[in-house]
Amino acid sequence: MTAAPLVGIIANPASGKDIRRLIALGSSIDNNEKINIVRRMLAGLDALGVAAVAYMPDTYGIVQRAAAAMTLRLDVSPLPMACIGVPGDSEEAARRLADMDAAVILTLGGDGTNRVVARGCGATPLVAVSTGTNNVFPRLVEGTLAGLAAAAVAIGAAPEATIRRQPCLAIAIDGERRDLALIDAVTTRQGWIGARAVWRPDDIREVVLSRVPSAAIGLASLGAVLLPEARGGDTGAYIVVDQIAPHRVLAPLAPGVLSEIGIASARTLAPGDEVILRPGPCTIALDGEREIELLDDRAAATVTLVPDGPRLVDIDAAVNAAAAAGVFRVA
Amino acid sequence: MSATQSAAPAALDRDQLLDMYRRMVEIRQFEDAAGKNFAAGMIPGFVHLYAGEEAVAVGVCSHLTDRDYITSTHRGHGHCIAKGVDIPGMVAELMGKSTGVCKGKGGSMHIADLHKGMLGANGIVGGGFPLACGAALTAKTLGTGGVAVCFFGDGASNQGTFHEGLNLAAIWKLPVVFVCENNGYAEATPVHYHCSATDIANRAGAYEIPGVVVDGLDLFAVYEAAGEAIERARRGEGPTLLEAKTYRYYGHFQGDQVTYRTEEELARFRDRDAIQAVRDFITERSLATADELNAIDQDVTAELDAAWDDAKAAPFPAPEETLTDVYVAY
Repeated sequence: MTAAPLVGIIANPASGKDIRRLIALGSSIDNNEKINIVRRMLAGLDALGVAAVAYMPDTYGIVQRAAAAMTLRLDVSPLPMACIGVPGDSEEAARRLADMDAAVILTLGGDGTNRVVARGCGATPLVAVSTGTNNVFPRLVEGTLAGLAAAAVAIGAAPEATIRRQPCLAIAIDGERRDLALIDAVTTRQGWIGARAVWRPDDIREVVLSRVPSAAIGLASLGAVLLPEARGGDTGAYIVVDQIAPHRVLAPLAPGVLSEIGIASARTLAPGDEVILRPGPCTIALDGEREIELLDDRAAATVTLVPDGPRLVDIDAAVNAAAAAGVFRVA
Repeated sequence: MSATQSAAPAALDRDQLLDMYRRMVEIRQFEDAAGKNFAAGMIPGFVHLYAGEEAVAVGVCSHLTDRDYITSTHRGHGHCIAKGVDIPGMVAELMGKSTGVCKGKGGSMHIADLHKGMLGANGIVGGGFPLACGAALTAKTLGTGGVAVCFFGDGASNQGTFHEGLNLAAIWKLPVVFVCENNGYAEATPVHYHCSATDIANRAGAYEIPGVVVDGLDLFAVYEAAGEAIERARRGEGPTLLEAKTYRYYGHFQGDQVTYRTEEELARFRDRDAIQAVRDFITERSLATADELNAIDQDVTAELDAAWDDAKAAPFPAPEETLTDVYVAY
């Protein structure tokens, strides 16, 4: 660990505001609350002696506004980049932080935000705080604790064991790597990307999961419902949906939305397994948001379960490790 | 709350898509011609042009029929066209001619067509909120099944009427959808300067109604979100605040020197042009060829040219008609 560890912050000003507040009961996280969360993070980082924070200068100025109202020992500086309010901003910020050898990156967003960060952050570990809608990857956690956990990693008080490689899904079209998903890749019958969310059971064709979480919101919930024996392990899942199939299950497809889903088949995936998606025009949703329009019915889309995706800090474990290392002793 | 209900159509057929494309082109060409003819001195008063924001008006109004109401703003031509107001009548209205939809007495900023449920452009910033609530109360009281859509800008969200309107609509569960066209500027003032929180949709929380941000340059994103909000209103579940992030190509008004934004910013938004995106969508799916879309463009141009020629030839209202067809009698 370097003498003056750098911590990155990527706060997505657009998370927590999409159509899922209308078609579902998604929580609304306004940017003022994100500023509050960042303040708590900065307090935690500052208290444990982190020297420098570099942040994505998002279009709202979340981190800038947070820092402006605080007296801090640590240096808080924007990354030298211009944000224009697109997902690529977060990817670019993650890439820059990785290039600067940041010890850890704090993210504020949902699965979608962390997916974009994961495209750029390489091996830099993430402390992911949920301010989005579907949140399997990030945690709903108090910002102070997230700041302390990130600080523990940055100052070397949290051992490698508190950071875990997360599985992810690699999406390829005609053999060419196209994108990744942290939790789920879903083919839908919807003809456009539009408002992005996926919430109508009739629209869903196939669901590929990077993991089978024990309790999850969104498409990932199907894994726990259908393959309970695989929960918590290193297996993923491949589920084919057919609304006229006799096998039907109830699943929370979105916050407050419990839907009946007809299931044609469901099986687990081992690390490295590849799924060839069924042919035909579709949109592919990644982590709950339609991202890829596939128009050519001859295109071969595949999804591969990759065991060594982004590295995620276990917040509880990192804070516990810091305590065990005596970081919180003041006398 | 019946969050699982979703009545908005998940797809559009070819005819619907081409109709929406045509509406967007009509708005763009109408505004381009209005800008040119205003500069030529043919239009009295002011014009505020909607070019660049077409996906919002068309994405929303495609869900509406004549039983539904809209209230508009000073930038109202696009809303009129999307709601089905007669285009030659609009051209004549801009010129103040007696063949205009308001017999030449409304002009650009007071253009209205009650038969189409278009309750009027409005020179008063924030003037639409109480009108939309009143129209929605009418629909609710009479049980027509109609909804009211209130278009407004980011600047209007700082008016008292915004808060009064949202509160009234929330407590009475009025079938109204508030559509904020956040184009980044209130006249010349950037939204981050005039708004403490630049996502207008977040203000919905203060009134316990849904607030959603949508990409206003994406016809399909607007169409989906507006469809859900409108169907929710029709089901009697109350108002929604829908914020479309959009951009206007022209200045606040024609003649505005636009010193408050950069050419680079404008170019970045023009690169994401909403009409071009719909053209690409249609041609990539082989729903129509580029030539077929060009033919639509040319057809719109011919109609507009004829409308301007007719309006130029039409008479102004006679002096003795000064006090007819106006709201106030003296």
